[in-house]
Amino acid sequence: MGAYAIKRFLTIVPVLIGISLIVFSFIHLIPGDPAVAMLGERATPQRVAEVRAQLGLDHPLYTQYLIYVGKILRGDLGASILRGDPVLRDLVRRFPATVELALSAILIAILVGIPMGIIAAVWRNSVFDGVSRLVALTGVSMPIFWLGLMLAWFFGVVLRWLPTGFRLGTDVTLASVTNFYILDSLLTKNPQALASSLRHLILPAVALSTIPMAVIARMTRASLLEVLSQEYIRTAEAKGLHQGAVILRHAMRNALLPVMTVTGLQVGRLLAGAILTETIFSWPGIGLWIYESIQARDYPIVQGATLFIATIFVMVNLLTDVLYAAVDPRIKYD
Amino acid sequence: MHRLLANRVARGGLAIIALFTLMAVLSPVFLPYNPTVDADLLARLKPPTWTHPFGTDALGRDILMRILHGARVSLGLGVGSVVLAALVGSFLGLLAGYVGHRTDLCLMFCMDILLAFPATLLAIAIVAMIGPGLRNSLIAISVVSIPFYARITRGEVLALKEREFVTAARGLGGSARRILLWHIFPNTLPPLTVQTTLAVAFAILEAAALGFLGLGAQPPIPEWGAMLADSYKFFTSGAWWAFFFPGAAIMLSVLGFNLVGDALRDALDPRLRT
Amino acid sequence: MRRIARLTSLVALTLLFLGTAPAMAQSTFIFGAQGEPVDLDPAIITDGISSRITRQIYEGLTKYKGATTEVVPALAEKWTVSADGTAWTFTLRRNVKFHDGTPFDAAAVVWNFERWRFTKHPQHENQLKAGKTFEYYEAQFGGFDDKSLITKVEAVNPTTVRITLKAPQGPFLANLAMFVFDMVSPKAAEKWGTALSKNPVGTGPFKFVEWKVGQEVILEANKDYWDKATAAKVQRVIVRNIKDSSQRLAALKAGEIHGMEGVNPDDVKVVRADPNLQIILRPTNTTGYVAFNYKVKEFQNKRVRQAIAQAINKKGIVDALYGGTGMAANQFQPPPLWGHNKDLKDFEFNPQRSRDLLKEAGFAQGLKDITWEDGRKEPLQFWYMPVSRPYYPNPKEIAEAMAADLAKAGITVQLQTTDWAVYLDKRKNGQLPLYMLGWTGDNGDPDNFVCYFFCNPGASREGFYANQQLAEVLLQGQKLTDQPKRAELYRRAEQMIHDDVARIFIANNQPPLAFQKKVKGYVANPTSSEYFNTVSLQ
Repeated sequence: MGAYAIKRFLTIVPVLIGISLIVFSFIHLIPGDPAVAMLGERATPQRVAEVRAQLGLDHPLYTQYLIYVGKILRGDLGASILRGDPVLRDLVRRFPATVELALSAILIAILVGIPMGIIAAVWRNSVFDGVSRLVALTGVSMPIFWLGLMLAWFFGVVLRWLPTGFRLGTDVTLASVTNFYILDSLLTKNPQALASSLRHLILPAVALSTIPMAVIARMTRASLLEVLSQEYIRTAEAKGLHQGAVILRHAMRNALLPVMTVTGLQVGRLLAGAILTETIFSWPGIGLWIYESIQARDYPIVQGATLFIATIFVMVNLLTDVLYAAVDPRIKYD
Repeated sequence: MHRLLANRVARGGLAIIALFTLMAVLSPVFLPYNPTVDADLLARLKPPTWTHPFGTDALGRDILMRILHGARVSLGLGVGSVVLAALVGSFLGLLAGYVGHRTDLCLMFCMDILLAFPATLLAIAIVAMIGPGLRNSLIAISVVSIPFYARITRGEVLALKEREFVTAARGLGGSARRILLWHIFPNTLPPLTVQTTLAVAFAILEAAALGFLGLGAQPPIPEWGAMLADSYKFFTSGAWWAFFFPGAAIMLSVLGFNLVGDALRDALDPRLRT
Repeated sequence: MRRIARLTSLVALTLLFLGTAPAMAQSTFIFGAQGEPVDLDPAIITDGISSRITRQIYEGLTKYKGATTEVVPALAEKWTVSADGTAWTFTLRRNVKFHDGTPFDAAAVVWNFERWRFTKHPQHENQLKAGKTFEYYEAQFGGFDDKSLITKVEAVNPTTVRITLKAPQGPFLANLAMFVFDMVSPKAAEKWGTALSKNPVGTGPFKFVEWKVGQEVILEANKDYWDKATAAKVQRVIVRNIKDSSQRLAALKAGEIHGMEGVNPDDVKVVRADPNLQIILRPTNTTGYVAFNYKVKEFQNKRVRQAIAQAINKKGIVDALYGGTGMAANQFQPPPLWGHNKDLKDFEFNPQRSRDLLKEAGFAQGLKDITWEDGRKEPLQFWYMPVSRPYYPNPKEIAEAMAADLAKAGITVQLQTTDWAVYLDKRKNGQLPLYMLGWTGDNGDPDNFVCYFFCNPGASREGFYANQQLAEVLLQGQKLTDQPKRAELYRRAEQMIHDDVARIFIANNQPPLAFQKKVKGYVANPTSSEYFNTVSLQ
């Protein structure tokens, strides 16, 4: 097992190198002189020269890349053009917001998706199955930004039930410990902050949960059907076990393995794909930051955040694989 | 195909696709529209009525008209980028699968790296760097879709390479290019069809997202995502129709392709047939 | 067991709070800003979002009174000027301290002026190294070092400062009231260096507490403020960054913030209809225009310029797209400015006349392509700004409306935009053929409006427009100190600009701000220099 994990881990090293190559090349996709493009109207020749030096633009390409990688390895993802703040520091500061949102969305997706998939499988080809299929396909077809907008409009503006932006009400003060607001409210025993952060989480988390919910429901149904068609379940059935008990006791454990895998993949996607949701709900995570930085042409932030997120994405996928291997005895570690 | 038509879900999906295709093809013919002169400031933000079934937008433009003509832009972007991706991707896949060795290793490594990025993020980052616009978003969406085609085609080629009709053709002295084009390529098509249907759905969604972020179509081109972005700010003033209908158009067209893709996958993958 | 009980009570309390709308502490004023401040060093910044915050922390020698641009004493109690207008003597207020305890005195004033003026001043040089410039000082006082209009700043005694100018400057006192010339604590500046931008220390009614990057800036009342009468009425101020205007309004409606700037034109009526909310209009001090590039051969023909001017339905645009807070403009200076020309008559909106003018100019088939002086031919591009400004609250919509108007008069344009910084850059280099832009007055002086644009004939920044006579009139106005005489000159300048159709002025706006009804005492100043010390919550 350990050997498998290590081996699997080693395979991502070239991938990470590839990612860094692509992100590095971003800066050269900008038409014209990247330094001028970044600095815009306020650029003095002196400042342009400095930024060129900072980006290493005066060296040949391969040297530039080596400098870039060297910096990354030292934890230096560059600095914001606009404010001069180190990108990595702000990434770390904003990451908890994104994680909190993604995990909440996944939780909703699991809580709704798995039961939906189970019911659809047990009563397959029933009306419920058809409906759940349609719901799932609608879920993956949903433009998140539109759904978010509709939710914000209906629950925030028409009904005025829920806030439509930010993580915490202005009426609440919360000492930040971990920057995970729910965790912080629990740690500091602050029920008011807990309530406020939960209220702020609901709409964006629901909007973000549609795609994983759909994927999880479909996968639960498919893998449960596959397991149910297998020999030992039939045997159990033949022994006269009650159907509900059969499913719960025997089938679920095996059926849930692939579900776990897709859930893991979805977590990775959500950590990355929250740009639209965060933009709609002014959620101060990494996605909103990327969007704002694109608008402000703060390329080091776009570059650094993309690298960061792609790395996280790869890591989460790796973790999912390893976990899967740990749980599923059928995987051979050769 | 018969089985596909027998499937209610697939029929629904095909009907939706047909509807939107008709919109895209026929609107320019029967309902000529010039977005540059279209503005009637006295009729702005009117709720749906018989004359404007979907209401009017911030410039008093008929939203239905813009959605009809937006079909051409949005579907065009979706289909166009997929065609581009399919051409490039399956060519790379054929090459990797057939030539093998170092070419294969190299190409597939590149594909793996592209896949290591979350697709939406990569598309957004590319457009952010090369600049906004329809052409650039088409390129960005293609780039993120290429790896899927390359991998599927390669897989099929590897499987087919050792099959009898291919070895036979090789034995008869066929040239590599001939074998590849006439014997292997046609057989990779069925799985690619499924992929393509789903990819179009994905591409329409991505294109709308880019438009929504202001990175896609530029005004006054009627593109659904951009229409949504323009009317987003009305969610506080109650002009819901201005953002409801463009979004519904995106969702429905994407749903059409997803329904068909899902049914096709069921039809082609016997394991999932129930 | 006790732990379970505690947990249960936590859950119960949480559930209780889940159902309730937020209730705000009465002593905190929460303002929704359009974005994140860039920097909190007043001498460096140029944007309204940052200056909204620095104005609460810092004060200058002079300031604008209430909702006007009238200059009144601030840190300087009174002043005198020599007969030739080149020597100003300021008497400073006594017993004023910066938030870090540093006394505010003549030495501090001299230090601040030296920091702005000398590129070799350590606290100037380090900013340059960090890529920051003292942009406004250069613009208002002609440049740095030897180029500076201010030639000497000396401490006569601890409460008296004398400033010597190369030549008299009409708007000198008005200039000093701008946010850029607020006084920073020399000790703090030397301690923090360039990091002063994140650790501001001034003399103002509020002290800086914290800047939560990406979220908000927190200030608290300055207990030791020098003037008890105008000390802050609230204990804390939070300026929250909510970039999206609809989000901002949603937050206001939900009671999460007390006030906001940048209301969508279409939301003005929403706010007015809400019994809990109110609109406060900022007196107009802003003009949106359409400018020509005179390197485009077609635009060198006055008939073509006039054809474009008469094709645009200003009134239609203002009525529909400004939410009732705008008015059609016919000249550069908005009506409240004392250089405004009341007698000026605008061209009428008349698409048919536009077609005729085009025909006379040799474009019977309408105008679609343009030729640059260097021979390049291209489709006519009409550039609109990517961001909302007070003079053009929704540039894209306004541009689309203008493009449709132009199309009806036979002028076909392609709409174009780009990133804001690049936009300004292209404009500065004279690369935009036809574009939208505008101006918001900094100090209430006509010079600040008109001269900035027309005093440098042929400047690329102004589309190479070269009108020597106009420039002379304006430069004359700058050197005089007698207001009626200056007003006469500015009125004449406006007529000259109009007669030449040098550019097309579209609209003046009274930018709307929205507040909870319980917010009292918010005074909207035309220069956007607002002081939160007058604000209270009821």
